[in-house]
Amino acid sequence: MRRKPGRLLPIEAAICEAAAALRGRGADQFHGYEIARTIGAAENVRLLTAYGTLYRALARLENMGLLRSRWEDPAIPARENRPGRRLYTLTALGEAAAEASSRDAEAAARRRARRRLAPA
Amino acid sequence: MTITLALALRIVRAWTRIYTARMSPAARAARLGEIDSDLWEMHEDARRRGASPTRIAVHMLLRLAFGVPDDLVWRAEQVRLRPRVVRSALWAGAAASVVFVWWLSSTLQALDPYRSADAINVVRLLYPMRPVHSVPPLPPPPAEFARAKFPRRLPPPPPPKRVRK
Repeated sequence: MRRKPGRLLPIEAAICEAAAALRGRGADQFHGYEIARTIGAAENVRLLTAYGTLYRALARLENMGLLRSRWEDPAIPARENRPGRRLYTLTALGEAAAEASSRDAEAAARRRARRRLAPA
Repeated sequence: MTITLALALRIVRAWTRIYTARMSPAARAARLGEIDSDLWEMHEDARRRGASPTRIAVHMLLRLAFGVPDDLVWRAEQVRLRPRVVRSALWAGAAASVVFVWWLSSTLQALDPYRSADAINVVRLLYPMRPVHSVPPLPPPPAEFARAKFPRRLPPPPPPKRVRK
């Protein structure tokens, strides 16, 4: 998919919005699966975002400075007997992008609704 | 852990090792670590929600298949390949994904086509089910229609009347 200048791709916007929603629920840091599950719940789909699509988009967002990541302290996964998580945080830039994309989505929804109500 | 789930985990890990082969050790370890973490989290979450191991395995394999083109592009971005090579790899990946999803769905349906409670149906997994309202059978025709005998051939139409001017 070709990127319009100054715009996020749909998957990137979805990640930023999901991260902002998680932050709103008090989770400042999130891992890949958590974001995939949040996007799936928001879009009401059963199949979560594919591994390749999700982690490529997360890497792109990190390069763009919208997300920051770090690996969790190895002692925690060792104690809980699970693989270590890569924890992402939404930056201020990412938060602004999430707000802008949700504003765009609302405006698009309003336009669609107005078009539907207009007489033929 | 069932054989299906173990196989799905192996396939996902093997594919991740394949497309990260000959990359810098740090980037490779990071991607492998992320995928391993995702697999574990997904398995635990689905298990808590009461999903069957087969369903978890199918979901993992579908997530793998739909992400193959992105994996290939990501790999190409890492080594900065020529656009033509990237495009070819992308088409090959997309075709491989379609074939894989088709093979997976047909194989699973052939294995267990009649278990509706735990149906392994890719379409059902992808889209939330909506109730299907069956069409009620038509009521029987009224008695006079049932008794009436309709002629099979209609009589020819009367000739047109001549109008004198």
